[in-house]
Amino acid sequence: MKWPVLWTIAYRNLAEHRRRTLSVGGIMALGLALVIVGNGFLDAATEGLRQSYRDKYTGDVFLAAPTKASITVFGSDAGPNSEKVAPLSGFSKVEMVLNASSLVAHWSGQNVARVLLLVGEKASAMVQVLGIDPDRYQAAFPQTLSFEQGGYWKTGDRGLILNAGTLASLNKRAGTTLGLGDKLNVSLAVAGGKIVELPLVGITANPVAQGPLAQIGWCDSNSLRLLKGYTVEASATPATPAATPSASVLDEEALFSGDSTQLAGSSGVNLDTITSGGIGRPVPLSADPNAWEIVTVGLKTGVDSEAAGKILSKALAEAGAEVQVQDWLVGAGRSATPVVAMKSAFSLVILVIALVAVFIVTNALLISVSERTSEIGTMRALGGRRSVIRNLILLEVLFLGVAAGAVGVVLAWLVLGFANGIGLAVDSTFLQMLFSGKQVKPVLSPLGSLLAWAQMVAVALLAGLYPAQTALSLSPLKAIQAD
Amino acid sequence: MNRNGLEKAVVSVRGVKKMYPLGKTEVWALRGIDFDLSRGDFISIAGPSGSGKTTLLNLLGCLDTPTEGEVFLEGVSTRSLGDDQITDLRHQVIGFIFQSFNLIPVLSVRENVEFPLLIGTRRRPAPDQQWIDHLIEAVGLSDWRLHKPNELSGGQRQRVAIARSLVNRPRIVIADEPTANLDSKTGEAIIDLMKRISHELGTTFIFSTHDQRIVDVADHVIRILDGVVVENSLASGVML
Repeated sequence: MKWPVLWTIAYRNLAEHRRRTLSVGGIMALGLALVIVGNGFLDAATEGLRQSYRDKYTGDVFLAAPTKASITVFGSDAGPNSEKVAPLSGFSKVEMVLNASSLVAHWSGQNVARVLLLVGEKASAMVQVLGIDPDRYQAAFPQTLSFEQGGYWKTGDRGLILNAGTLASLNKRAGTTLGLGDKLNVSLAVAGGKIVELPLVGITANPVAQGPLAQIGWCDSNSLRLLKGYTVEASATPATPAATPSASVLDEEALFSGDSTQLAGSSGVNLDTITSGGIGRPVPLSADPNAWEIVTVGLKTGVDSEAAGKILSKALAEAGAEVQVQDWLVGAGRSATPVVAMKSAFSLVILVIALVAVFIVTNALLISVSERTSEIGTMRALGGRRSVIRNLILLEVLFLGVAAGAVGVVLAWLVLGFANGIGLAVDSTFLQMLFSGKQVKPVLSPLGSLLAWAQMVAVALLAGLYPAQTALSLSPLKAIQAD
Repeated sequence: MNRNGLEKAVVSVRGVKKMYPLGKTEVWALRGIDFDLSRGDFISIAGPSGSGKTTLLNLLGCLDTPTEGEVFLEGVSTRSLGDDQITDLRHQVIGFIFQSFNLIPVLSVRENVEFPLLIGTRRRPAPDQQWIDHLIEAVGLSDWRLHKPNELSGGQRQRVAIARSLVNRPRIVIADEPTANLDSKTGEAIIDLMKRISHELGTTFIFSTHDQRIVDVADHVIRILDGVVVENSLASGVML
């Protein structure tokens, strides 16, 4: 069989039925353009969201204690009252592996808790708080906090950072005018916890986010450790500033007993430690400096996070540290739901487009086959095997797919190029978080476009199989007699 | 079976019957046909409409299979051949001329003539362009070689079909009422052309017709009536 004659027939058949070719090809081109443009924006959203989270909250990967619960860098993803995050066991091994790894650019430990901010006796706001080491956190996430007033506390000090919106909401609810330097009482959201008194050392601009991230605060790690009971006997604590808890810790009963001297934290009790060991035998406890629930890890530039995650996981296991290594998307948890939902929705759109394309191409080809029954029969009678007919029909689909695909790609790139050139402005904080900025610049991906093009051609060829089979099932005799 | 006849004949038909189911009724288009056709003959299958001519030609051209009996092409039974083998046999041994011309509409005259050379599975050298041009010239369409079928008259289209049927140098050309869609003058010219080529190339031409004037030019006439052969004679008057 000589292919050129089949190419000629296929091409001329398409040209002969110009109107049908243009309508089917046009729909295919538009469908492909829609997919490529959609992908461009989706890629921009994925990358934007990834940047937003990776650079500001999650790092490339994060470590947490093995658990069946869904853990994120903001705590448990199972609900606001779920405090299933446990500290890493054998943190010193984790620290050793991370410090020794050539893949790791920086890492930062954090503890997480949902806390109540108390003004007087009233619980005035509920905030998700990250307990951090300010030096490591700043090194890992320099862009995360944009201060309107104040800044981080000094290492070894205690402190609380809230965003302006949360503070305004708190003041409104409590009828106060709390500001920088004022002290707030903080307790875990779960009932019966301890209370610490923390000075408000920083007020950040409202985060470029809504939902869970809008209610995040930061405090020194030791205060949170004390609240969560991650303590060791004071005598066992190394005499380092980080290991010396400086938060004022009170029992809740004492707080609400009306003894104002205890609330101020300035006199009456030693607030640097809490005690345990039963009545009459108090044992001083201090925050365990090795108690970290989450460790976020930033990888060096160019390191593939998936591969690095596996390598780190293996190294940690070999070192005897029982931790799980997960990527930024898991770390972002429900906060990243939009991108997952968008991807799912867009996949559905692509599926619908593919099904419509299959339906249109199949129908157009079935009509074409029925119109050319006699021609097909003649070819068979003259000695053309079934493969000749099948190849002819699939060649027509290939022509149509390639040509329509080329138009679709050009169309999509014109749209994407224009959108990328002008940069679409977004006002919504959600969109700003989604696209990691105030402008949307869709991604122009040559490889992605080629892939979408190839997929469309493949789908079209798939759609051509049934009409081809229909043509093959025609007996040459009946086909000739069709005229 | 006359084994000797099989070896000498280019086509042999033995006890062929063909039945078409029509609802619950069985319609027997052929009721037991036997004959041999010699190489290079110009053979007319004659008979009135509905006598079974077209059915017989379809069986000879391997476009259909008999209900009973066998068709031998150059001594080979076509009954046991699979679809690809039958297709290859049609491609290599048989040329077709159809009543409705059946040209490929998007191909030019020259491309239509060349087409059978391009679709076979047999490895061939590049198509013999001189041979193609010769055939086009022989059917008088040199000036129309680049035209599409829809730009040609019925007679011209049938000439293209004749050239196409010969391009593969087949041993047998089967033509089903090749003049049916042509006026009588053009029809006669087409038959003259077919006969001339048949004699020049030694190709066996088998054509069906119900036109007595065309039957008269045949070397060998097989007349069918109601699915049976009622006359099998040579032009010399010898009855077979």
